[in-house]
Amino acid sequence: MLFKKRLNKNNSASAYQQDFNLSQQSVLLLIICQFVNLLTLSFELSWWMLSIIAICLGWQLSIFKKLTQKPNKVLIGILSVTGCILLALTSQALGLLSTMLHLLCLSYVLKSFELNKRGDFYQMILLGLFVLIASLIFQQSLYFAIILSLIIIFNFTLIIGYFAPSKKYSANLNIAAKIFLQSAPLAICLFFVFPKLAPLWAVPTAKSAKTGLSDSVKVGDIANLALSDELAFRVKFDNQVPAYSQMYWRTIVMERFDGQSWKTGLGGLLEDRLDNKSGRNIVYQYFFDPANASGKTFDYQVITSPTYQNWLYALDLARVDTNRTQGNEIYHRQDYSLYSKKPITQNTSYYVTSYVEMPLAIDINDYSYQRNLDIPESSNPRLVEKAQGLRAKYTNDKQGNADLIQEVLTTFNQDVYRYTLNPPRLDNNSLDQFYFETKAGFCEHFASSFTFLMRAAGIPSRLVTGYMGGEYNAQGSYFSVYQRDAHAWSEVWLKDKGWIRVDPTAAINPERVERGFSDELLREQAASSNDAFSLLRYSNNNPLINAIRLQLEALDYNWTRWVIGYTADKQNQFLAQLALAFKSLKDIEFISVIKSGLLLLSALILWWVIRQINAARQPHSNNYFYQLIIEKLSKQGVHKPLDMTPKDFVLVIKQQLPEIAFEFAKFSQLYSSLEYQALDDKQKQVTSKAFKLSYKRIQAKL
Amino acid sequence: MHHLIANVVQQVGSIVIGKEPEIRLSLACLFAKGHILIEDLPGMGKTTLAQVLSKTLGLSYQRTQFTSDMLPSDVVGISIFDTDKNAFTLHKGPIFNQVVLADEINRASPKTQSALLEAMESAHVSIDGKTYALPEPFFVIATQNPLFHSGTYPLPESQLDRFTMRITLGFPSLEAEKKILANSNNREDINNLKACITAEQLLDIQKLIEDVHVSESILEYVIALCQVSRKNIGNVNPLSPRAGKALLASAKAWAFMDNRDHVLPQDIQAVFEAVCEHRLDTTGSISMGNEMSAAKNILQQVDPTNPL
Repeated sequence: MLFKKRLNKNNSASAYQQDFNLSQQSVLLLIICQFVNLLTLSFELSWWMLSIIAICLGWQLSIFKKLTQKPNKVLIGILSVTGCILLALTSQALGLLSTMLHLLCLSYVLKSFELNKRGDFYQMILLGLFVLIASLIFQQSLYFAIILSLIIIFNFTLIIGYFAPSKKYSANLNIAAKIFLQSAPLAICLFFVFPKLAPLWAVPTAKSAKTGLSDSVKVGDIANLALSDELAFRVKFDNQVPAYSQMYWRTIVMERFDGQSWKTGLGGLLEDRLDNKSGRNIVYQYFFDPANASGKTFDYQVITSPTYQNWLYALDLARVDTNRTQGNEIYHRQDYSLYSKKPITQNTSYYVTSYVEMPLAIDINDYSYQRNLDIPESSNPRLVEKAQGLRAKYTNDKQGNADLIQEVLTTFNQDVYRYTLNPPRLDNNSLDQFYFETKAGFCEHFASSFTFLMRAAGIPSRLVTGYMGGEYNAQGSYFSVYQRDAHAWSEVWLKDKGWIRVDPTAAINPERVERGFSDELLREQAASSNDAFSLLRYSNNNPLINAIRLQLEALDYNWTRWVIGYTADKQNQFLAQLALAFKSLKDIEFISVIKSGLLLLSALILWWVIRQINAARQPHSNNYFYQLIIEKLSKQGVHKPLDMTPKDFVLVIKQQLPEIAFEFAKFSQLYSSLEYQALDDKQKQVTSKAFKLSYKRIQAKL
Repeated sequence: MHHLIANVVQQVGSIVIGKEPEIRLSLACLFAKGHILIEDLPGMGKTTLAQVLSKTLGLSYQRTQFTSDMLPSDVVGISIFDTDKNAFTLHKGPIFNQVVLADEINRASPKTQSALLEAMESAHVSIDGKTYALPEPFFVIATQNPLFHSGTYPLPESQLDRFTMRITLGFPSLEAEKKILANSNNREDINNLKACITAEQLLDIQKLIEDVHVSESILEYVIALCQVSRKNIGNVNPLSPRAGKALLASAKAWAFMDNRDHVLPQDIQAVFEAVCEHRLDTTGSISMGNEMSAAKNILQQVDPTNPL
């Protein structure tokens, strides 16, 4: 065994690999780096993975503090096998991407226990960078990118720290930051021109919690969104902007009510039927002829945040501009909502033209008509009774229906109904209880009881959820719509008019429809929720914070639009334009541009040469060279105390930098002679020459 | 010439034990044609140092104990009417020696002090309207007790400035003190000392020292040091050009004693505290505490290789 070891040592290559040694500060930095790198992925990891990581990092820390020994190979093996088994067991639930990420993180933390060779160290660093980059799958915001860059610099510091163990942290960090900045132009260049190979780089979709509106709404759901600062989507209008009160962003239309919750018309129905082969629901599109379209239109671009759902947002009557929208296939659903073929897993943009004055569905088929009248038996009997009373009061024609609707809205307005984000609890989501007893609720309560009432009264109606309004950002001239802008309203179908939007909330709380949630409502809700602090919460009162928030958001918007949104198509366009620009240059003024460029270049060179000559002409005093060396030494950590004489400093150098001591002694001696001795001209010349020679030698050695 | 100096140092050191730096400083002061003020507690060897120095240098020497009732004539001398010759004859005072030891100078009244100090500056004295040149070399060694001792008249700044150096001897080291205590017949030793050097040789040395080269850089260094003191750092008196001159002269002597024909920054640094401390800090006496002296503080603020 011993013999074998010797053999190994004799082998120079492996001996070179064997004496791998990290300095104490590098070990600590490595642990910190692991922690920070894994932190970026922490939201995507399951609890057991996080605990394995915590244990491993804690263990490393205790090894660092010399509290425990290094674990032996068997233990590491057991750990990794256990981790893999756990992964295999949970892989179904986690999905492919998440499983792979877990595997990556597991190998990353376990690898740190076997840093025996330099190769291991390199692997460690690469794994760390891989973990970092993987986090970009889930987060692409500007701030995250900045944080990521800082962490990358930190990782670089680790490498530098290994090769220069004697140097200080801060010095290494400095170098790493410099290297990072130096590489930035190259990275930017590559960003613009490096081909974006979509199929090769495709990553399995993340299986993540769906956000935003859900396709099944129980009374009370939207209030949970009321304080959410999360961005739902952004809209940039091409020219005209609709009035705030007209910005009803249709998202999901609910046609089925089971007594407790509203659902989209999914499954078993004529329009939306499950495809037996693929198991996916086929989305039937309605017929639309742009040639017949009339009235006012709005053109705009929508950039949505990922929701992991298929629903998209638009104003009525929305037609996707297929010329400008690339990549994603979008359906126009029968209920006039937009539906993406693939779930929205990243920021996605599409262009829409809205024909706001077009009627929606003048004709509907019997089936659809019936479905929108459907109410479950024996649900909310008092409302049914009330509806029948109303029905008896008004005739079943155009005017009668309109009057009926008006009376219901008037009741909302004039009775003691109260708009609040914090309504009292309802038993079994009973609409009866809301309508007749508690009389306090928000848009969903009103919309859903109104819809129910209409159905009971024989007017086809349905519930629509979506977003209302949006916040205008003057810096980027776009609207931001947040989850807190979520809203619910009703649609009734009237003969010859088609589907008409009725917003009962407008009757009870017009302010909500005109300006969004009022301060009191938000404060009321905030008081009852223990949600984290958010800028939004305070921005209601403070114009400065509000301005900062808008500025930051504009920045984020541009980042999303120009950096994240720089897709393969955009790249092609850009490169084509670039090529075109070059071509035109060549045609017109290619020669003159080159000429003036050369002229400028030669002028610059001339200026530089003249400066150099001037600098060389000025005779430097001998002291100048001495001070240069002193400065250099001080950069290497050997400082000359201010009042120290050259002779004494030689002794310091002798102790601290013995390798240059001899030359430096000579240098100092010559310096002293030149500075302090009485020399005649010839002596001066000779000494000066020797001094400069000595200067060059020291310069070379430092 | 240098072996003579080495002999002098060695001989003085055999009596004043363990105080070689102070001996060298006082010799440098003497070679630079300056006068020295030794300030210390009684019994520290001030007088012994002065006696041994004059003996070793082979110079005429007289000691004067200054007291509060002393008159100027006790120092410089007086004309007395001689009835035999029927004329005034001059009775020269102790100042007409080559080495004058003015012991406890701060016990005398200011009037008497200034008589001595005037002679120091101009190298001649006037008695009854007649001017008498003082012998060459002329060297005053004054000693004084610390100012906090009772019955002292502090020397004014203008007169302190006349002393090229002020040194303190300080307590001897353990080894040195052992030797001092073991030696019983000190007085005899001093009386038996022989001169190591003649007055002519001393004058030669003084002349040679004047030729020691002072480069531009050294001048700049001296000026920079003076300028720092003039920027009113802390509670110090600014250094006058006379102080700068004294500094240079002492540094030259120091360089010469170091067997060099040019002054280096370390020469300036070696003599700076002795030359400048009593000019900078005239308020107190020697610092008994550990605080940094004003001179050291100034030295630390100037880079000798890049002074201005």
